Amino acid sequence: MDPELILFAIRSLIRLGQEGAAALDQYERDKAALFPNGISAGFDHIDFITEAFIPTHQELLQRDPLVKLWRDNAPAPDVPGAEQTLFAMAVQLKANDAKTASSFPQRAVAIGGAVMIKQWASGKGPLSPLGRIAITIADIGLEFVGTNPSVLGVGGTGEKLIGGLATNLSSFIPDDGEQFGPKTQFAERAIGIFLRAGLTTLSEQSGLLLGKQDLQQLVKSSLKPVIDALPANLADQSRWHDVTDALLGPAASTALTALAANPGVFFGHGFDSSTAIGALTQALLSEASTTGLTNQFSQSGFIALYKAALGVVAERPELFLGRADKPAEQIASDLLSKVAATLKGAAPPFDSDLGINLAVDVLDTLKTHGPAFLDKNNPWENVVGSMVLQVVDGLKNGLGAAGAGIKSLLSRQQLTDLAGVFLKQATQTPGMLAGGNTELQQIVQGVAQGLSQDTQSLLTPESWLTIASAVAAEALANPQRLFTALPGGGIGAALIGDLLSVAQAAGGRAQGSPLFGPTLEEAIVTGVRAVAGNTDAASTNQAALKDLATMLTNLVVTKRGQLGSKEWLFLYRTLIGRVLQGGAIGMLADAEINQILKGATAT
Amino acid sequence: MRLHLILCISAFAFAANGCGSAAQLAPLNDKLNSADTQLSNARKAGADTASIEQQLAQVSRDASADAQSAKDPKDAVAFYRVAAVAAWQAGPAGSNLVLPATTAGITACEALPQHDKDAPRDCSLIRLALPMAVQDAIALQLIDLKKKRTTAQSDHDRHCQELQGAEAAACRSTRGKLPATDLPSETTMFGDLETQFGKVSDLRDGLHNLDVPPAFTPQTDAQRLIVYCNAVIAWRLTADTDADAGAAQFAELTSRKAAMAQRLEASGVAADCTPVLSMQTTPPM
Repeated sequence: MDPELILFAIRSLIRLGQEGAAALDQYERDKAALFPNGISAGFDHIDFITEAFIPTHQELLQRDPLVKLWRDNAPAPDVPGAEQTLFAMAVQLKANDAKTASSFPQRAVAIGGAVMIKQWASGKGPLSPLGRIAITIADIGLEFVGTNPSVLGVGGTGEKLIGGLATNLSSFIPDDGEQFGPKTQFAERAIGIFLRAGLTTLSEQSGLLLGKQDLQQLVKSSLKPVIDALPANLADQSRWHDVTDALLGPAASTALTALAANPGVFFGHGFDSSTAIGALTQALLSEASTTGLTNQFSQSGFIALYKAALGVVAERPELFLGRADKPAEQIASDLLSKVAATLKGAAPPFDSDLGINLAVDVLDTLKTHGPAFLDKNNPWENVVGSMVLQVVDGLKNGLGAAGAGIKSLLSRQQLTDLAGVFLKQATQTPGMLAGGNTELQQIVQGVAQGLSQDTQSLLTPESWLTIASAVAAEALANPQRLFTALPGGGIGAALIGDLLSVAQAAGGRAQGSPLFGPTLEEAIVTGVRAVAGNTDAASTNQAALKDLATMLTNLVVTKRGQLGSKEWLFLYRTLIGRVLQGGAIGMLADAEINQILKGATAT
Repeated sequence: MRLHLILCISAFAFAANGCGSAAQLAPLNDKLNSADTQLSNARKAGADTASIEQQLAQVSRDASADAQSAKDPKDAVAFYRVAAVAAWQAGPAGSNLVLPATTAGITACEALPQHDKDAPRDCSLIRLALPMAVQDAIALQLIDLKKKRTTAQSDHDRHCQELQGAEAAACRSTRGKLPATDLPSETTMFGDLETQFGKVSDLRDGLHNLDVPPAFTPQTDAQRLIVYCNAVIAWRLTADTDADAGAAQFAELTSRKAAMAQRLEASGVAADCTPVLSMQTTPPM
């Protein structure tokens, strides 16, 4: 990454943070505050009468009819009703005074309880929190122009991104001081992260072409659900902040790239795919918040899963949208949570990012080949994780891992590649998971058993990948034949085991045996393909098939000056059908062998 | 409280800038509002308010301390506003706190770049707190004097009952009076209320230069009316004081009382104490 971009990001972060803190201080200072009332000493009727008459209307008290009622600057105490009469007159005088005060229009003052009053008259105070953040966004944009003028040029994609943010700003932050709470603070943060990630992505991938409307929708759909989902609980909020800091930027970058790659797909049809993007983004953060950012999966693992799911949204929006039984938000949440939950329970090392890689494989195939491999009676989002688990459990059982992590001669990456081979084949097989089928696990287990028996490393990891691919293809094309849940794993597993057993007994290359490396790989693939169409005969003649391999190996070792690996394979390919049809063929005469090999030469 | 903790932590977690001192303002505001509500309810119920006033005094002390340590001058003004209003509302418990809080608060306001214009409500409340605290203290003295006048009237009525015939009738045609020794204090109280009325009115006249919310002005006028009506009580008490001196003082103060009424009316406010008649903030008599 360009060092200037890093500096820009840091400066932006600090500036938005400072702006957020300043806005918080401003909010606290300016919100409504108490304006209490002073104490009245108990204003009474005589006070009122006195105030009303003296001095303005004092002459009224000095003539009839009031003169009898007023004595010594007070209502006459010995005249019944004097106080009441004078009070009524005083009230009338006050009313008349208010009416006749034409030079100074007067209003009566209402005295209620204490009142709460804000610092500023409406529209007169400093910028609202929303306004401050808007200005900061503009400020960040201006700074970005300094390092990347082309992105923020007129009509540039960066300008459209900022426009998209500005258009939606009011929906993110309520422009009301009373609502300036944690959600507004969080919104400011999220907007800053999104903006930085967006501008940086657009700068680094200058070829990205995005429409204004698309960006507006992306901003709205990606940010609003995330902001709205801020939890109420303080501890939950803290986690939500952490995952947003870590994942929202990469997620925004991924979404922008995906959108640019599929502009017509995301927003150009009847589905509002932006809903699905928002749902996925929220689901990603929710899952990361629940799982933790480092406990199980890495940030790149989370983002890889998000990216793969986004690919499904782009290519197969109907899987997320328009479902009667679930909204997109729930589908996205179920998908990520079930994958994560399943992988958490998987055998190591697949309980980590390696497991996520397998789920990504499944989603990528789903994106390309559609959901034909799924069980129509089980929502697709529920089975992605369980499909991965079938492979992982198959590996675990086949490799004999008892409670511990999977161990083999393969590296972690090779083990993942091996699992990926099975998943790739399975996801291209219609009805693979129909009816809760667990055949995939049996196939994986059968091959893994063979792998575990290869204690002399007669086959390279690459050979095992080839074998896995071929065997899986054959097994999937011939359902419920080669590999079963029965002890031993079925004839496919037995055949592979027997060939490995023969090869190991022959001692490999050191003893002049051709049955190792490519020859053994080819022998296994040939054998599995040969028995796939007639597994009953293969089961009946399992011993004879093993004897055939032993006999041919001994023959080639004995006649090492005349026979080699090519001859071994030709004889095996030719004679296996005969064994399947007629059983054991015993030892072959040299003449017969020569006759078969002449056929090979002829052909 | 919880909201502010969240806000504080959020600001810290996000920006690593630390919490602004304004975040500490919220709990003090909450305490002030809560205690003032209790005070109002206690006054309506005629209950003892001493413990609530102690709480308010403590709020004032805490706010003053926070104001002194505030880094942002606007934060300092906000804290002084809490300190000043709390000291005002604390009554006797805050009598030694009002002047320091308002003096320091006014200094803080004048230190702002545009003085009171930068914190119009807070600075106005700070300036209002001292005259209102003085008037409240006088109001409490007036309440005592009114009690005394009521007692004098009761004594007078009892005396009249002891008399017979013309003497009794003559007695009942007069009122019980306060002793002449109370006249100087009544006069002083009137003068002090007149002064506080002038200060609050000056502040009110200056509000048009500040961008306070519209509700601030009528609430200030309500305070002027309360002060004016209390001044009327003090003025009225001189008429209820024994001997010719009381009547003379009453006559002398009449023009000053009228001048106060004219100032109210000049600002568009009716010099009509009707709202104060029904006011329920009077402490127990």
